[in-house]
Amino acid sequence: MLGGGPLEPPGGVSPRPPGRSRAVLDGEVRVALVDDHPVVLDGVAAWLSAEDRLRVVATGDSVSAVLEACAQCPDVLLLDLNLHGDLVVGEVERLAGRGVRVVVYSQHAEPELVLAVMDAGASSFVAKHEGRGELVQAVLAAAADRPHVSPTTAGALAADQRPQRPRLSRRELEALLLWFQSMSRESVARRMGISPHTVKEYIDRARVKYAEVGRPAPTKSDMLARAIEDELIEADDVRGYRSWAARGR
Amino acid sequence: MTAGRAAPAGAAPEDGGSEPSGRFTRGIALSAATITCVWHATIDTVNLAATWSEHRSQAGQLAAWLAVAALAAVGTWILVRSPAGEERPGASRADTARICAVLALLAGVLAGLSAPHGDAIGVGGWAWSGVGWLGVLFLLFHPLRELIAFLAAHLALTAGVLLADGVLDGAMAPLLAVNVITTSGVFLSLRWVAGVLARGEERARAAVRDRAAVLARARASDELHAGRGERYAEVREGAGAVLAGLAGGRLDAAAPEVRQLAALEAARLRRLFAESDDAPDPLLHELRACADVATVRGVLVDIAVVGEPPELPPGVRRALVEAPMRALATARAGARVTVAALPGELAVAVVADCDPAALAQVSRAVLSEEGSGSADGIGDGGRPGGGGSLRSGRRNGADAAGADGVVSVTIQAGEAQCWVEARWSRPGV
Repeated sequence: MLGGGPLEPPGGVSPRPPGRSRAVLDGEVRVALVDDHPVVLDGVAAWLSAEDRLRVVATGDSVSAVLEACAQCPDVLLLDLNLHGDLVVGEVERLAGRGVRVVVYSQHAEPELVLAVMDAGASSFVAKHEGRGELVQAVLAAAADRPHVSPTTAGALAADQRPQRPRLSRRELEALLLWFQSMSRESVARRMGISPHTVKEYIDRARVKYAEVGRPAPTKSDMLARAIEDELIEADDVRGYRSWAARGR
Repeated sequence: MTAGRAAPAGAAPEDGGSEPSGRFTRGIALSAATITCVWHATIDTVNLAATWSEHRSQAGQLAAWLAVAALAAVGTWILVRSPAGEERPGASRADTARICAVLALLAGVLAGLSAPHGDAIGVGGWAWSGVGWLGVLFLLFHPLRELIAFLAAHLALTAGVLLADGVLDGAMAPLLAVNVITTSGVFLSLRWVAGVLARGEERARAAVRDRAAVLARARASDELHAGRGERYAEVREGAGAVLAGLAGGRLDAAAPEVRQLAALEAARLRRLFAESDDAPDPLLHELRACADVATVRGVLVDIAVVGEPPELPPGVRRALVEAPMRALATARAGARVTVAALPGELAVAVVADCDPAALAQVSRAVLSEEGSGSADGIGDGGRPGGGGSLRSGRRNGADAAGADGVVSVTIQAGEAQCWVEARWSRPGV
């Protein structure tokens, strides 16, 4: 399908900084945290440290401070969207454009904002009230370039009526909607009469289709490539991916 | 009882009789146009022909005749081809009519100056009365002073022509006066009749409008009254029964199921109050009212909304909110309320740590709404401990189906959590 060769990053975008493969090799994910509230930083760091596979390597109240502080680039940057009173969607776009995997978490969970963050190239969006489990899952998925969809994100994707939205199937939309409502994949599965695994597939596939929306970014093409490797989608399903690949040659 | 609500909200009120069609004013307009055109085609033309060789300028006469003919055509067109709905014929072309009236006066001067010497009001002065008719034609529905000013100007210009010809003497002046009195008498009479008819029609129109407004107010107040009656009935059946049971000692305020019942009825009361509030988003407003009641009980409620909920009739809103409201009323510590508006669909869901037993009762009652069979008595009888108040709510379900779309309710109850979803689909989706 892909000729087995290494996947090219999209043309015109600087390559991902070193550190990507490390997460895959030694199984440990290095996370940097950016939040302007020390108590939140400490709390989230504690949450993440409780998970064996995650190691918090830097924390701070600004992106530049955190990226300077860590000697090697982190695998995942966990970013509070509201820093010192500003919504830093532009920062997300800049980081994603440099290949940094960003998981955004925020107390602002308006659908428009969630979609803007996805368009900017964030790997995932987690609302602050969604708790530790979602956050850990989001970071682990981001490190592996795999999609992760929080219930808040699912709601935003399901109700997306923008012209540039990707075409989602009826089942994908239904899975997103129920996931938004229920907070338990098992109950969604029961409701739809399918397995939890299939529910996750529907939701993840919908998310991967969003990698084509907005400006291309290495984080997006990595997620697409991984989804194709995982056979979540087929290369033919993804128009954007093919055009990026063609550009690389 | 639901008849008032069945009528589409905001529908135009039936008017209290047909609008007056403007038949009479149109008739008089047509008469004026006919007289003007026929007058010019016959009397003016015959007089012009009879004196053709005597005119000072035949070209001037021909030009004046053509001008009067053209103006008569324009005036007729203005009066007859009025846009539909215009109260008086030609009202929207008032300025055009005034300009035409001035042109008619100028045509009259041209005709007078090119007529045989001193004959401006005689047989050769055919335009004297022809131009007068044009004034009537153009100014029939204008204020009376405009026609008087026109006739005065016409008289002054004609007198000027006679004066210039040097014939306005002791013999001519009485003749001119008699001429003015007879012609103006006819013109002003016609204008007077038109005015009377137009005023009559205007009064009739106003009466019809007033009647329609009265009817609309009466209908709105009927609907308001019916709505209040309906809400009162719900309160009497629900909260009233709980209060009566507590007061009469039949219900034990310490029993968990009675407390749940009370919570449910409190939520229902709040929702009913919220229903008649003027809120930008009534559905969210009602849901927040239910959530408030749960919050007061110490339940942590989180509400998430995606998409723009469409405007829905109160019956549909009730059916949508009923089941989620019951889940909120039985929630113990936490509840997540979601509202998702998708194209042609609206889903309201509650995930909460409900009491499974209480929710089972809710389920039986609410699920019966989906079935088409008789739901009489479901949730009413046989439940120990104050069962009588958990109503089936079938009426709401029935209201919601049909022209307003369908509301379907899905309930999943586990040991720790319940998940209640009410989903509305647009008709035909």
